[in-house]
Amino acid sequence: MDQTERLLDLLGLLLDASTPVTFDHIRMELKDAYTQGDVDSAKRMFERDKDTLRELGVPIETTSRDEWTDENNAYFIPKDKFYLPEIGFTPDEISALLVAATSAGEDDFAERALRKLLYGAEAALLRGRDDPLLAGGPDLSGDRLAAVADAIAERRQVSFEYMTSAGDTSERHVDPYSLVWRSGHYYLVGLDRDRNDIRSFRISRFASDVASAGTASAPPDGFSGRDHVTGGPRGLEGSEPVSTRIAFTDRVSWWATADVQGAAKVESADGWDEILLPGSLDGSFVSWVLSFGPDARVLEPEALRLAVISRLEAVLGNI
Amino acid sequence: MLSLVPYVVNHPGAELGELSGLFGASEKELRKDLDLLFLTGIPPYGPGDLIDVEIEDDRVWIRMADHLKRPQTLTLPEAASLYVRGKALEGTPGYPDAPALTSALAKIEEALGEEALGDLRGRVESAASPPAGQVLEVVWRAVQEHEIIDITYFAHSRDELTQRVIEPEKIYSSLGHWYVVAWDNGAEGERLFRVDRIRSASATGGLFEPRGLEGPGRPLYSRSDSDIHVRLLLHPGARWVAEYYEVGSSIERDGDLETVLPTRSLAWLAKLLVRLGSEAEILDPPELKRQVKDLAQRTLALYG
Repeated sequence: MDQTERLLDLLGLLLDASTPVTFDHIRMELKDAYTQGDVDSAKRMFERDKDTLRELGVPIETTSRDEWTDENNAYFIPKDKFYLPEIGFTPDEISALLVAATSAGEDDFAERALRKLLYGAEAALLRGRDDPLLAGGPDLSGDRLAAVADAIAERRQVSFEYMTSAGDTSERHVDPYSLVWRSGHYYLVGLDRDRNDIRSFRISRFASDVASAGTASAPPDGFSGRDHVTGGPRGLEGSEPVSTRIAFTDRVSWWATADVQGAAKVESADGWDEILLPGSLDGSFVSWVLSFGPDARVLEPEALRLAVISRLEAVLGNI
Repeated sequence: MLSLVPYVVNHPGAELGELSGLFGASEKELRKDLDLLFLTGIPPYGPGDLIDVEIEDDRVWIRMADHLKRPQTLTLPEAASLYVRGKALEGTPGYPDAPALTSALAKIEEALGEEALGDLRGRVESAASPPAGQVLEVVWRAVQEHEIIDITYFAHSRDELTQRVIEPEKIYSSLGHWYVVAWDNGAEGERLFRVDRIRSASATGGLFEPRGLEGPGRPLYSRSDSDIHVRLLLHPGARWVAEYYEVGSSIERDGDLETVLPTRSLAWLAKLLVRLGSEAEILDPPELKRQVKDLAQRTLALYG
């Protein structure tokens, strides 16, 4: 008898049984499954099948069937743990999930989840688009992201090698609190145990696999991961926002305002638009301003103006 | 198979071709699985106890499978994977179906509860993203409806605004930006446009026939024989360049990274080097040094 067939029969029997069943009962009921050879090898085969079903996520539990023994010799599947709860999705929600699940990535867990969720959906909805909307890469799939999600779910500490944007690598020990998606990357936000401070770590900068250890602390009340992955425009991490005034030529000013939330044009003259926008004194913001070349000129604050000038002088000194 | 059965039970007469697409298995594999299923059931396995599978004219019916009428609940890896992808899409600026996705994920979270998700509930977040701009809306609709559109595009490589008529076929997001793959009617070739660099877009009223251009998964930069190979020495503060752009061979040099960046034009690279300040050194070609110097001088002149 084929293993798949045996597993389906075993699953059917356990789901159909109204009370826990013993191996003897199973053996008697599943006539072709566990009858070959002696009882011991049949029992071993049953144990293997049971483990396989558990690996597939089937919650097979054990209990003691009779009062003469403490041995957990009867098996059952709690229905509420086995079956997917009823979820009423609207057609729009189904198509949105379809798009999300088929986003590029190397594992197929999301698609497997979707196949279960759509069992009641209208078939017509499922013939939607065939192209993923997100180009994946290591940030959307892969073992490291999955390991972090797992550790958050089970509230376990994690440790990993981490490379900062400056290229320094060190081992970090973190109580993981949340995963935050920002500008094309996932960040782990959690308590850095060595620094005793909440820090964010970009998953794509992990330089090793994730090891997990003991129980992690719970996040403080009112914790929100996204508060720790913030900053001005251009993906700054943890820098103080400052209000800036920058002149852009009119051929690029539309782009600067579209790019930065909270930007506002205050004046236009001679082909230049003056724009007020939230920025920072951080190197990344200086870099963003310079990405416009001679199409952008910092007016305020003075510290930012000087930072831009000194970066330009450094370039010239470097040539 | 455990998710195939509930689907077919709830969609009597489902087509094999459709099932094959949905469940990522060939029709031959599906037939084999369904044959197996036919032999199983629940005790005592009388004629009324076996699962009844019928395949006729490439359509499938499954009866007598009450215990498999509903699928198994999601495992933690399945739920987590759907979650991280869903939240990523939700948090991609301007994604038009974000509200539906948000409510779908909330329903899943609510239904699965702590049993399946543990402490992961509410712990996958997306940073607030701005709403869709008018340009993204026009481009999005054009991709879906096959509309030819007029765009004003800021070509970074040429450092200028250009007018183009394009046939946008695919749209996708990568590293936080939307990209559109289109046929450029003026250039008579395939082009990749970053949506946030499109200053304005409007429908021309014309429709096009898709050519089957490749969508996501394509490299953001397509190499060619006429590429200029720029050699750079990146200090720690500029190492991100090697992560962000598609670089050729790289060698570690005492904490610095020597790397080769293929490019079609030096203009955008000169801008990049001005941004990097003293964190990067140009090893080759000398022409790039000249352009960087010129650009830095012209920019510095604004502050004179």
